[in-house]
Amino acid sequence: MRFATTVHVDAPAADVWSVCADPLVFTRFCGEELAIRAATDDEAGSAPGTGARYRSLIRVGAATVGSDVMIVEFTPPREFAWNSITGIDHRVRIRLRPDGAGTRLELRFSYDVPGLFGSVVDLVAYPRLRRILREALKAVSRHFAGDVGNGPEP
Amino acid sequence: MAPIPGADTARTLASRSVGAVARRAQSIAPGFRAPGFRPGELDARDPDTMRELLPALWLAVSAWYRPDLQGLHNVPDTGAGLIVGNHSGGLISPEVFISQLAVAAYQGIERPFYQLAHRMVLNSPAAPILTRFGTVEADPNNARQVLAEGALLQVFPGGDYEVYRPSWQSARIDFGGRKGFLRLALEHDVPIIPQVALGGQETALFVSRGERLARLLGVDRSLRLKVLPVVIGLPTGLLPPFAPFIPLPSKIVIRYLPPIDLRATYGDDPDLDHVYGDIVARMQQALTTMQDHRRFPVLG
Repeated sequence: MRFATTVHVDAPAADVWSVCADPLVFTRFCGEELAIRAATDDEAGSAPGTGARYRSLIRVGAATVGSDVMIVEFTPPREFAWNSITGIDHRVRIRLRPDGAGTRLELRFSYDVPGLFGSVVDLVAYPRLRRILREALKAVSRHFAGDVGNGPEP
Repeated sequence: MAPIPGADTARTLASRSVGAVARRAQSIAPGFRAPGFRPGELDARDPDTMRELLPALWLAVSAWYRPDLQGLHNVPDTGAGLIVGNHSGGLISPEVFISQLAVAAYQGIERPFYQLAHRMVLNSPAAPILTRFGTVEADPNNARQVLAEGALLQVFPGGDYEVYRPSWQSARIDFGGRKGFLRLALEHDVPIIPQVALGGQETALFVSRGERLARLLGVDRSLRLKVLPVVIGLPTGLLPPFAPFIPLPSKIVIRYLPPIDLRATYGDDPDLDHVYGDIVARMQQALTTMQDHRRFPVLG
């Protein structure tokens, strides 16, 4: 299963990149249903880049699904991608492109639940996953639009 | 073909009888295995099968039990740990399978996680799935091996005594004074992660453990059965002891409490009675809170 969601952000790509390409910063926009943390305590303060590893926790219904993920593409301020290493197979790609005076922020998410009924689970999870990530991008957009009430926690 | 009334009970009693004989034989001839028994071994855990089955099984239990998992972050990501849970729901014990799936989904199938279960469970129709998810026989050697390998181990000290408590004692932790889990945690110096579950006792009407009946019939000595539970459930109403049943779709709530390092909390040589009382009290407090938030039986 795969979907993409796009928003316009009133800020230069470099500024948007600083928020979206650091998973530990981006997680602040994701609400309670998606959390990203450093894979180990040793990596908690390290800068993001190709090969950096994180732990993602996505709450889908009653299940919290954990995956170790690794950044596989890191090209500032244009292209960012991670792939899962453990847990449910999934890939995330964030693309930043100039859009007038601002930036077009696109997030692509693809996932593949294994097993005989994997496709059924894919479909059941789809609306919730799409909403979680859609809301995260909207929160980024609001943050740069100056809507303090919806910005990230300090 | 219609099921024969009491066949499950007869099978269970027969299984117990053979089990008693097998234990005696093992004491005479170590290594003896009764034919047809599935002992449940650590090697039976199969992460590849787990990966295939976990999503669909989670979908199924979510639809039926609407589980609510709280505090999963309290389960350590690395190293050995002993998850100690209260037991409920009779033969079905929904919290066992739900917690199996939830911990595997949260921590990943790569994190070794085993559960100790009665041999009766390992010879039930669900055994082929349970053993692949890490259920092993409640044997001290299995427990030691799991913890020595740095894995997570889940135990239910209350066992068959707690799992058949009356439904009106649903919000009561009752390990029956069993403290073996404390010795195990101290022996391996691993933290205890209390797991508190609510809702299992509403999957049927558990009337009595039938302890007196077990004594009266002498099965407490002959078959080591301390209980002969009286349960009213689907589809037959009054169920023969240990018979499987169709569980009501009761909402299951499971909460993991912060890990307890026994030596750091109670000293190097703690008084087991004191530790037992304190851990049970912590779990009881959580369970009481969960019960207070439960508005309706079964519905949750």
